[in-house]
Amino acid sequence: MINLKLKNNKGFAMLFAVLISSMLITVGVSIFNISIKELMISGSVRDSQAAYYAADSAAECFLYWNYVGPGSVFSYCTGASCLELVTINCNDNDISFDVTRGPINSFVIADDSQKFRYSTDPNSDIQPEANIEVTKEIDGTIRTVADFFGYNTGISGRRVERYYQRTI
Amino acid sequence: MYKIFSKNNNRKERLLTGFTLIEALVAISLLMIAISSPMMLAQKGLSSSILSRDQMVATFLVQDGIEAIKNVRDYTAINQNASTTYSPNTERDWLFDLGDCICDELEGDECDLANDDAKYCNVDSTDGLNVSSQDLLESAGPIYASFNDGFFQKYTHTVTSGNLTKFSRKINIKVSTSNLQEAELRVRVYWTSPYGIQNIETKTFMYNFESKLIPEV
Repeated sequence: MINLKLKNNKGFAMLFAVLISSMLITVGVSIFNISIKELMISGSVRDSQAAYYAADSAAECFLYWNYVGPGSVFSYCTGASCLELVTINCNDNDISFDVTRGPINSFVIADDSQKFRYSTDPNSDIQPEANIEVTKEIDGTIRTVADFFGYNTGISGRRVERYYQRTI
Repeated sequence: MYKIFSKNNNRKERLLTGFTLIEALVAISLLMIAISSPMMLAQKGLSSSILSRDQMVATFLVQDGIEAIKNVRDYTAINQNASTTYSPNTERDWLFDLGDCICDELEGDECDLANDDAKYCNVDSTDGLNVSSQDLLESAGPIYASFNDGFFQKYTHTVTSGNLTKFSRKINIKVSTSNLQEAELRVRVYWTSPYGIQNIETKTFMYNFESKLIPEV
């Protein structure tokens, strides 16, 4: 009878050890997992900041050309003498905008293919970049609406995009 | 018969005694492995947490630097027409108050902030936006922390107002050679972590357009 009891209890230590070990490993892996996620979030904040300042640089460049550029390149224009192509220069890159007139008293100066580019690391292909899109809205008064799309193809391998709009 | 049995029993007991010691040693070593692995995982996890916290702080210190410099630029633009000392529409005077930050490669300055001999300045957003030159800063733009209202931590370059933090900041401005109304602003925050020296650097461009918006006095 005693032997039977002992036999039934055999393996308990092993079971208990496996149970405790797996619990400890689960706790360790969970903490590690949470921390890695935290690190990814803080990495995204950093990448997002680069994207934001790419958009901000593009906005500064747009404002400069809007106010200071020769002949106010983004001014409203009608008639045959209007520019078909507007070119500004940011960070030694020529950025050309095709001027296309919209159907209802408005025209859009937009070209997604042209980018304001800059790199934090000149030797790297990973560059925060920004697109600029300019729209003239004629609704009683003439307004210039500029959209800036800053994005970063991510140091941590994830694309982050920040967008903002300025109306002047 | 009794003797033999007794002898055998003793041997068994002796064997069992030795086995218990080995068993205990094996058990302890297994336990050590079982405990140390998750402990190491947890420890690594906590170190990563600290790194991510530092990254967040550094990111916002970079942003603080950029915004403070832009604020000084705006201040110059607002006040420029009231003074006869600047002519911000020409050359570099739109960066008049940021003279200590301008890095000119043509004059032999090292502009890459990753290098120890890079030219840099710093700005204290908590202390009247004073721009301090490299010469006035101890070592490389160390940042101090003091507690404002006993809760919020305030970062400053003023030595007397706080405890030294692990963060240092360097700022410089490179005026474009092709357009003197364009300048590249770089801010680098770096600190020492268990994984080595970490840094966060962000670059942005500033343009001199605001002086055109303010009518001349």
